[in-house]
Amino acid sequence: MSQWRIIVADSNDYSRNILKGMLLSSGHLVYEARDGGSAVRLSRSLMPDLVLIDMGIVGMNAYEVAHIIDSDNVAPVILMTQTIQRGFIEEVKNYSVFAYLLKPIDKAVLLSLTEFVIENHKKYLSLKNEIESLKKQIEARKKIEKAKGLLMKVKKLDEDEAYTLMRKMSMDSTLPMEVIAERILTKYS
Amino acid sequence: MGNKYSAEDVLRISKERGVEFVHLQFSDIFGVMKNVSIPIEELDKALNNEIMFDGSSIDGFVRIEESDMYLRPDTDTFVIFPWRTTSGVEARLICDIYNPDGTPFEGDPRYVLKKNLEEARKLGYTMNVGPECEFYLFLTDEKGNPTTITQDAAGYFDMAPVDLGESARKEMVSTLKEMGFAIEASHHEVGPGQHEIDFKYDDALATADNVMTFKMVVRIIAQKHGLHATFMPKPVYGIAGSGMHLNQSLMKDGENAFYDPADQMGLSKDCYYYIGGLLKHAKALTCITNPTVNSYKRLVSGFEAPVYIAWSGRNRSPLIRIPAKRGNSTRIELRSPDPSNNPYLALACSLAAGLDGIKNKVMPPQSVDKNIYEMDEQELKKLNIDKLPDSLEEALVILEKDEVIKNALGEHIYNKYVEAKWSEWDSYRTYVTRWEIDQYLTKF
Repeated sequence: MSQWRIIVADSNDYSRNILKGMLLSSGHLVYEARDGGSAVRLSRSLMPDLVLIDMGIVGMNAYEVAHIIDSDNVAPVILMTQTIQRGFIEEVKNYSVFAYLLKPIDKAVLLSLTEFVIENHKKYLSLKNEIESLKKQIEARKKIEKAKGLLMKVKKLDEDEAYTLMRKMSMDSTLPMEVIAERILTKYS
Repeated sequence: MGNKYSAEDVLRISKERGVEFVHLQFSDIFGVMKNVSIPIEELDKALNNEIMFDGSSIDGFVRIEESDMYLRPDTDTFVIFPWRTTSGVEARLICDIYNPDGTPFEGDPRYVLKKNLEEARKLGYTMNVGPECEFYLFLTDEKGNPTTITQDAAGYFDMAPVDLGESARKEMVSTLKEMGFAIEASHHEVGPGQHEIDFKYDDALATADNVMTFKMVVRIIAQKHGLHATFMPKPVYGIAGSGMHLNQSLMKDGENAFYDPADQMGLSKDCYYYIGGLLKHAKALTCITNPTVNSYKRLVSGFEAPVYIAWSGRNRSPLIRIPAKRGNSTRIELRSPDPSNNPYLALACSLAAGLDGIKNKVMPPQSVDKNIYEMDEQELKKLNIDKLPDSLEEALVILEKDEVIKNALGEHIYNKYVEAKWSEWDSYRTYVTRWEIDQYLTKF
């Protein structure tokens, strides 16, 4: 089992200590936050592997803390609650990994869910990044195609000649094809 | 911000990007941003200038009986917020305020700036302004309320790989860039927890809009980092206050009107007169550029804030400094303003003071290239160097006698402003402060 860096954000000293004990005894590094603001600050400065947030945390609202940490890709979050209130499930569905813990917390459930969320969050991030880069590639390809078409029309070239010309411009100016395409598009259209 | 949108563009982009809410923004007379938020279905109506709000609910606006006001969005100010909110994609439009009869509302600070810019345009000038805005980042306490403890001082996680203040500032810069700002510099300032972000100069109206947007972004991003951003001029006694230096220049026929290569200092007659005007009205102007009780606790010697009414081509201590750059970058830097001011009014009144100098050919006194703080009373007297007001009270008394600044504000805003500021001063004057308790409670 790996060693993770985990933040436990819970205003209740008693339950925070129990949680801390469970995680420590499994070899994880545990950091504590007693209020919402500290949880956000601690998460931002430590960039931990996981943040556990109790619904009853004081200061900043638990949903807000979770939303910030999750949507800014600081770390995956698991919300902990005693009862499932209205809207709770809908909120958790927005997070990158759908998971929550019901209190009182069972150690075996805690440890398996911890592992589950951290590993799945990694996969989520890598897929997300891959999609981003593919999107960018498609955008670039579109621009290059458009610029090539324009060049063919303006300079009366065939497709290969236009492409060769663009590639030469790119090499001569040591700029990516995409930038060359953008310049052609602004110059001729 | 230079991106000119038509109403159709705004509608099209909103649809393309899936905008759900639009915030119609405007400023009250104290420079506090107000919002009327509408769902996307109402955007069409808003762009037809049909959105109304109750003006009597806004500080310093109007009486109950004349409370219906119309918002006219300026489509050039359309921006989609780059941060994710729980309620989906949001955008904003800065608005002008109009009376029901279709005339511009005299109490709208944005209108006041526009009016003064129009005055300048009649003389052939346009105004460019580049602000340097400082602020503090403080921690929040366990209840989520702001404190005056800084991250730097707390240093509670020495082994942490990320400096919280730095990373918050970086995100502010990247967010502002996404919103179309050209950021020139951003750095940690003198005080612990103090930061500065400078963005590129623009025409005065765009800059005032930008300052409003800037403050909003800084506050929101700080909150997302568990920090509280404050533009209070002097939040902690004994450490440097936060200023908002205003780099100003005038353009005429596409050329910088402050530059003259033939002059010994490279400055044109207009530039000297503009400085002359600013110095002449410096005291009354301070009431607008430094509008709070707290502002005057920043204007003390020893903290890089100006105290004396003088100008210099080199030294950084006087009220007006001339940065070394010439040619199209020739400009003057007014160093007294602080970020608690209303940027629309601060720019309008600076411009009016400068233009008064140009119209009446007011030559400024000799520039002072020595450190003024090292001069004694006699030397100051010999050079005829006066001081900025010591308090909001002094500034108010002087403002009441300065027709140029009063005229720049217009009757409506002037009256409301002075009334509110006098009551602010009275409330401060009669309040028993911690300092008094510490000094006198046990002594007497």
